[in-house]
Amino acid sequence: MTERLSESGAWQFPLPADYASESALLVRVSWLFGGLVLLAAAISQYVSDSSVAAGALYLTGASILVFNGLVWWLGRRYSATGDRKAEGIPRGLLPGQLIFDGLAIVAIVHWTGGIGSPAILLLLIHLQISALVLSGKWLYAFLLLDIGALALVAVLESEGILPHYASILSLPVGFHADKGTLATVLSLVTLASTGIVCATTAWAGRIRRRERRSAQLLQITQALASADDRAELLEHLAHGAAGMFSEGVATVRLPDEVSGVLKTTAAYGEKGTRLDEEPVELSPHLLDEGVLAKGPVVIGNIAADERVRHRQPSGEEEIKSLLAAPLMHKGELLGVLTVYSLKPNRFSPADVSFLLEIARQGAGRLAHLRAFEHLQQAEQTQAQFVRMVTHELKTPVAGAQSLLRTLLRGLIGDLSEQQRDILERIDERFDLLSELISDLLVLAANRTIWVDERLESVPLQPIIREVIDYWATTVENKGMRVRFDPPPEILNVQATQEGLERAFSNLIDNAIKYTPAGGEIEVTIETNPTSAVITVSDSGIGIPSEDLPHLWDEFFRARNAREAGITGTGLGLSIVRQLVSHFGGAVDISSKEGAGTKVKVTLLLG
Amino acid sequence: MSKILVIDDDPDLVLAVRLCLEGADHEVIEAKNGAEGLKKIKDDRPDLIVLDVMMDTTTEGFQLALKLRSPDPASAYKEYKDIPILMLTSIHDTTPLRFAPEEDYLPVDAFVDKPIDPDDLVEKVADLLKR
Repeated sequence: MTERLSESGAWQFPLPADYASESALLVRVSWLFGGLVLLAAAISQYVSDSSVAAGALYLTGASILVFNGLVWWLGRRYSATGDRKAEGIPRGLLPGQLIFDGLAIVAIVHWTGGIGSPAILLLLIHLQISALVLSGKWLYAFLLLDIGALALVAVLESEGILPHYASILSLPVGFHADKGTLATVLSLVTLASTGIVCATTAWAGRIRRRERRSAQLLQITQALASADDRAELLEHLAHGAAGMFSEGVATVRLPDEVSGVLKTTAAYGEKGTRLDEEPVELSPHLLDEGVLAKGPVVIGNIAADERVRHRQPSGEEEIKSLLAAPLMHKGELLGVLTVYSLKPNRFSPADVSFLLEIARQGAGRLAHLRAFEHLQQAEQTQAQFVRMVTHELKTPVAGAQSLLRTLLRGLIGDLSEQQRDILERIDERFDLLSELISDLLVLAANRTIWVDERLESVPLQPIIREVIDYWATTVENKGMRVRFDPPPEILNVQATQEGLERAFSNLIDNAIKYTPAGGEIEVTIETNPTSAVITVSDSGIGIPSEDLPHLWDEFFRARNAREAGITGTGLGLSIVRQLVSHFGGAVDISSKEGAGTKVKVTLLLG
Repeated sequence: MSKILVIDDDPDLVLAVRLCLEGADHEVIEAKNGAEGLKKIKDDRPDLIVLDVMMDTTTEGFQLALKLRSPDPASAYKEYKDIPILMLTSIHDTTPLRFAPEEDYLPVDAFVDKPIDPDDLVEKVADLLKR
């Protein structure tokens, strides 16, 4: 009954849940069955003068109910554990239940009139149920069992070895001993049973196959959807397709990137083993885009088909038929999915449409993964370009400034007042240019490189302390003071180390720059249940209210900053905002012109 | 007075370094790349090497430093292992550090940032020569 597609158990039909639910259904039916038998026992007490029959029926009814109770309890244990190892329980229970029921029915038939008992109909119902639940050789064994048991009871009764009990139907006495009657009834029962079993099997078989295919398709779909990269996807595709046709071999061919020739990229053989090459060589024209684009190719008899060049795999059986489905996505042929079989003419139209569905899904997913790969590559190229450009821009500036500073240092002779002044201005412009280049790199990197970077749990206070120490000399030179009184317990926030350093460095740099000499900067930390709020406040020139909404714009500089002649790139706050939003936090500014500015950064704890 | 070898492919930087160091009474010889640098180390035996981190290739300077300081006892450069090395770096250049064999192993003795501050350079050179 089980069909395992791979030893890993990843593909398994029917699923254990099927056994469990069928067993549960039988249990429910059997409660009814048991109850009816007890009822029949009560009726027979009135009809028959033999209390033996009635007693026996009560006993049978009771045993049916007891056995059913046992099965029910075992079934509950299985579902409670949900344990894969307990799988055997429902699988073993089903035939057990059916055997017991069959024998119980034959016993009832015996006690309610033997060959003349209307309970024979129960036997037919039993066979019908068995045909729906079981399949194959099990079923025919049951057929034999039921009919055989009935025949045995009838013969034994007719020979007088077993007592005969009167039936509820008014039948002539000695009817059960008449050989002719015996033969006729048994033949009719056998005919009816066989008919029921065959018909039910045929129909049930079709439904089952369709059910199985749907379950397989679902599993394959899920496997395809879970593949993270192309290689994994193709493996799942070949594996799934091979599994569909139990003795199948499946291969996936994709066009070689350079030559465009279809090359085997993934292949699965029997028992889930990987293959290295295509088991059969198809003539090139078969793999022609034009041919495949029109639809699948089915070859029922490879040996006789001239489109195929046969390759005999060593020591293995001959491949006899094949089915090739194109991997098409939006009119483009991405590759070919081929399934092979050892049986000739193995692939029916239903099989073809099924493989086409798998191929369609595989192609869709393949196209998505390809697009994603291209995107990643483009991003990487861009990031590299940015890095290169920045280096190329910084090199001439560094060279020029180095020479400038040797001049300013007086190493090539004394300078006049004006010469010195002009050279210093040049040096300052170069400084700004250098800063601009750095900031542009950070901004561009944020967009391309850093956005991918995973957030970590970063300790907050040490980083802020480090940043404040970095600016200590500048602060001292301006006669300013930085106050930082953090909570003693180290807080961890969602961020990246580099990003956090950069963000706070920019904020403190701003606080220093826009505060006149002798001023004060304060950094405080407050906590909420889920976040930390860091406030950087200064006693500086503040921001005019009309400029506040524009502060986040790139290259924007407030009116009063420009008027005071303070240089800046105008990128510092854009960088802070980008970083903080990447961390999942928020930043807010409040300010009063001439009094000072407060920047509040909220970061997530964790 | 010491002999200092400057290895850098940027002629402006070389000139700037030369002016600074000659101003502090040192003798300066120069090389344009790693190969030329190695030759001059052998031929002229400098007392100190000023090395740019990047030259023709991204890690050329760093690779040279690694070669000179190779712990391999059979290394061709073991006589020069003790020459102090000063590295010129660009502050945003973290690329060379990713190539360091171990995190703590830096085969140079001091760093100077570009653009060069003449006083800073002279001071660091003096420190290294004293050791």
